[in-house]
Amino acid sequence: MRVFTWPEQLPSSLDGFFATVRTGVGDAEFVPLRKLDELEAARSGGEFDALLIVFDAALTSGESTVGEAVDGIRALATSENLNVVVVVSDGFLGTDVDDLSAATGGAGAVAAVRSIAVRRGVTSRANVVCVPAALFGDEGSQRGPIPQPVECRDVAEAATFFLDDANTYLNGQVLFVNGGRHLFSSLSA
Amino acid sequence: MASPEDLLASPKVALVTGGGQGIGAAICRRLAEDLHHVCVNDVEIERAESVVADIQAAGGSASSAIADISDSAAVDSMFDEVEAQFGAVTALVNSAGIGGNAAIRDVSDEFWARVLAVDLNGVLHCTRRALGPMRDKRAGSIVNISSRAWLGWWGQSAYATAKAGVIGMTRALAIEMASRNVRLNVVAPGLIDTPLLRNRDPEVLARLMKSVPIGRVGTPEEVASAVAFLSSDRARMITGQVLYVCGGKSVYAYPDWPDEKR
Repeated sequence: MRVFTWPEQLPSSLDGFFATVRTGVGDAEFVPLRKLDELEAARSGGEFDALLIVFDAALTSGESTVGEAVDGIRALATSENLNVVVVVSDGFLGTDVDDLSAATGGAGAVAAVRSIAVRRGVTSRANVVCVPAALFGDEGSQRGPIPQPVECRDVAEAATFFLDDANTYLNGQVLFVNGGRHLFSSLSA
Repeated sequence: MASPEDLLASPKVALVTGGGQGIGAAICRRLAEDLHHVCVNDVEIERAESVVADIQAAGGSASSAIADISDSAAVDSMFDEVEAQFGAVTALVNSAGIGGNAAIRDVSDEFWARVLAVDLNGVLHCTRRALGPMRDKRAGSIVNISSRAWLGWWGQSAYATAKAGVIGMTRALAIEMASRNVRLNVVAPGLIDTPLLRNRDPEVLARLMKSVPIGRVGTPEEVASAVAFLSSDRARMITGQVLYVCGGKSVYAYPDWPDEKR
């Protein structure tokens, strides 16, 4: 299996994220993408590939605008034989920070992933890992009912879970890796 | 599979209700592979013993735990016996359940009470009993098997009510137990290849299949894989999650349904 990853630059809180996932997945080639629209050109034939996106990192690193990032995920609806895993921050559940770009972008990303899951489910699948916005520098608290902070390894475990061939019946899911913070939102079940 | 040395080094005790068949049996086998001693609960000893034998034949560690989970006294006794023999339960999976398909005009008080007694009260009885030692030890995981049907479906008012109750209970207890390092999550299967599904009218099944984006039914092993993940330390920051193992059916799937159902 080949796992394409985007973007190249992650925040310090997710240092080593792709490497940890690579260790968890085992026998897979990881291919970093500079731009999301490089994906189809980088693929070959009808092989089943995976694409691992850290959505908010594309915004915080300046590699993409919100609109470009959402459009990039939306465009994946034409892809075949692809396992898409998108990591987004939990601001889309509703947030009180001043800058709503990550929250609105995250909502768009989640909607796009769920739509891909419905439209392309026969050949592809798509899922979301939702993490505290604090991992991307958001000033709000990242603490949930579980008092410990979410670490890079927790996010990597969830991504690895979705990449595992044993879990191919999971499609269109939003897995909250946030110590239970989502429980205070009506969008979470 | 768990060798005796493995179990001594890492004493993980799982109790799986409804473990004698279908999804519950697959969960038992998977948790045994993940180095748990598995207590296989069922109301019928033959079914439980059959799964225990399978696990032991594969080199795992398992024992039967017979009780009707709708009877809280029987549940307490079952836990007492398990704890005396193997120690406190560290992973509980509430998988036991009964179906229930009836148009509302046919839902009698007895039918309603029976569905809720097993599918909701049974979860309460086992969860309440398991949480005591988990809270004291500040460690543990509970995974409750609900169903995608809680979102609503024709003829499933009782079943959906029970399964929705399981989700509400899980979310409330996830908050209540989080500071004690005890996690509670839900797995909500969609169409899974079980004897119950195989017995359905082929025409109805074909219609249901049209609303599954992946285009196939799932396997009990796929449900078990999700349960195993949520039960493990890999999911240490995940609590109160409702994870649908449904091929995408929970996202949005309006069925191709005959006019008489509208």
